[in-house]
Amino acid sequence: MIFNLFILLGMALFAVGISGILASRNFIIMMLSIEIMIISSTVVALSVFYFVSSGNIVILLLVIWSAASAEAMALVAFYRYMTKGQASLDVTKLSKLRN
Amino acid sequence: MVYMAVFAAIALLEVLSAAMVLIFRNMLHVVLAISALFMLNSAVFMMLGQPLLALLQLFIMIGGVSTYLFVGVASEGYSKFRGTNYKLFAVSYLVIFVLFSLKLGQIGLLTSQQNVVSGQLIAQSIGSNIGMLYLTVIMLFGVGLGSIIVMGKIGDKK
Repeated sequence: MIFNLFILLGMALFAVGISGILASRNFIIMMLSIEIMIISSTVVALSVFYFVSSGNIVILLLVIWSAASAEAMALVAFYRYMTKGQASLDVTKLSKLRN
Repeated sequence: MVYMAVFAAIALLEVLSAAMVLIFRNMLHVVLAISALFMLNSAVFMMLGQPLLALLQLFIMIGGVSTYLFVGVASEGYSKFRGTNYKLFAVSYLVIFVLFSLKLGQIGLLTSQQNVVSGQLIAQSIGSNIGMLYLTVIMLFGVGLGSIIVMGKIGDKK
């Protein structure tokens, strides 16, 4: 059934996002992995709304929220880059922010 | 059957581009991969009967990805992108653009219908014109990316 294929697509994207969070140390890659997970949840919810019930306003909020989170996290990375003068985006070096 | 085939192709490319986000080491390539992911995801939204969400996905997400592009490129430095094959990228971009133009150029920009009360011509829904909007987004993104590459070349010379 086509509904199962949409759910499968969402799960595959979610798995890629989870593996990106676990495997990467780059801050931007981790944020992009969170974006992929948000996209997968949007696909799953939209397919449920399309095949099972109706309504899409929640998905609209999800899309806007994911865009806002992307730009906010990029702003945080850019702020850290400007204030600390560090070109590295390795999250294991974030403890230097306490100094 | 055609719906299934189109969905299979789009889903395969989408998962592949999501994996490429983690596989690529060059930040510029990562951003290109996630842009492709967003475009394919908007196509999935179109298949699910939501053209407005597809447009939002295109415009808002490509705006967010452009922010990532600036931050990533600025933090890593332009000198790390010498390995990028810009000629191959430009040729492939032109080929994709010409293919889209040949297919979508035959579609009218606005097809109108007449209001039965006032007699005024009103535009149909955006779903019929989604092709031209995709083309516009591809053009805008290509121009933005090209300007960033030109900026990097100028910065390298200094």
